[in-house]
Amino acid sequence: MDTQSLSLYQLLITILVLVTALLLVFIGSAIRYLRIRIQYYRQQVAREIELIDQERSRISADLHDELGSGLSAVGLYMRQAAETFEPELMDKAINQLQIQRTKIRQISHDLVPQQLKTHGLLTALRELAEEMQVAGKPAIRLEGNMDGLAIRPPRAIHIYRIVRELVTNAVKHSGASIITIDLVRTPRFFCIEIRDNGRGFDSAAPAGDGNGMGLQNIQARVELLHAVIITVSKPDVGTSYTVRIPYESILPADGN
Amino acid sequence: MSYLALFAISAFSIALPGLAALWRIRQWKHPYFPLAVMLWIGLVNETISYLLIRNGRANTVNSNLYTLLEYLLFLWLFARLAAWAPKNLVVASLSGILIWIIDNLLLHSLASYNPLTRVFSSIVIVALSIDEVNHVLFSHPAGRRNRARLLFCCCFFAFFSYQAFISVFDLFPMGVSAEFYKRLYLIMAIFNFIVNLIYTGLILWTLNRSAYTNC
Repeated sequence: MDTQSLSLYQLLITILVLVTALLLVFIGSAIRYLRIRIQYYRQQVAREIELIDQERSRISADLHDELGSGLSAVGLYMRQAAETFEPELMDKAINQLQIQRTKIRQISHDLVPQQLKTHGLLTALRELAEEMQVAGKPAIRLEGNMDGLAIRPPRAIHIYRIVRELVTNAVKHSGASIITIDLVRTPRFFCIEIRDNGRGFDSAAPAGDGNGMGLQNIQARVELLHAVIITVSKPDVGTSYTVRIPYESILPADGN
Repeated sequence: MSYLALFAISAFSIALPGLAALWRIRQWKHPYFPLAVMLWIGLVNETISYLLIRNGRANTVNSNLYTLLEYLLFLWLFARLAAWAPKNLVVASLSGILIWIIDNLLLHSLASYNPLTRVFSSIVIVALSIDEVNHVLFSHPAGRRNRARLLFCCCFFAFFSYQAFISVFDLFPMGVSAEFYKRLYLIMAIFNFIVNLIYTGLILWTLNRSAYTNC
């Protein structure tokens, strides 16, 4: 074999080896990340089951603690009233029934806000801002509007829960004096920005494992909406979370 | 247009992403800061090479040094993007330095064109780009930062695959005509020009100025 042919063979073999090595890198890396993805989905399902169980336990506790004793008292008053014919006991029973009715409304509101069903997301968010404002500082402002955007009700509940969780986190942990919920419509996305002027953090630093139930809950809902959540934070300046939702995933099938 | 003019235009096109990086990537904490450093050093290297060639001297010494620097800066960039453990960064850097010493100081001279380090560094960068593309595609929800990572890694993959390919020709000289090699490097120069334009676009339109953002 002459020198030129030998060099050619060496070149071809080297190229073949390199291409094969890169192909193996591609396959190995794809399998590794697919496994991570599958594991992530498994954890997500387990988390959702855990969330459902927690919610059931809460509803069960609410019904037992809040309504159980109250209705027993109503029964007692009515039995005594039937025996003694005292109008005062009937009044007490009616009064107790009113209290129980209010509690039922509160439990129902906690499950799905009535305003969301009847008046839509904007009103529900306005009510949320007022509700959390009443609880004390910081000041919560709702800015922007939805310009008549009608969101499918099953999707609106996800958006409401995301905003509620982010605002609750900001109230609890940011130390801010002002929290703003800003609604913005762009040509392709409906964006909700929740920003505060609190202590902030270094969002360029490696993130933690995100094991907080609240954060996982937000991430799960964001993924259901095919949305993206963008975090911008700077120490001592504040934090903003922008949830960018594509219209296709929230508009009714006939558009808006 | 002469070959030298074409090569010069291609080489100095690195100034475009370099300027864009100067505008967008100023903070040391920015995830793409190593890329900015690489572009600025690349521009310095191209200027030195141009001046040396114009004066009839070889640019091999600065090119060999730049190959090592570029490799280390790429490792730093990938370590930042994929949050590597420090041990991995040290191992990858040391293996690159070792190959460079063997190639440039033991087997050959620093003043000669040494393709072994180029093949090694290009293949490592291509492998890391493939891994990063898979990482973004399989592990992350879509986002602006991920889109930028995906596009940058696709560019790295394309450019360094070709660089590895032509460096293999230098590993095994086959006695083909000088014109053949010139054409190989002409394609590389055109490729380099296009990739620099894409880098400029990506730096300007997909990266945030602030280091304090996750997008």
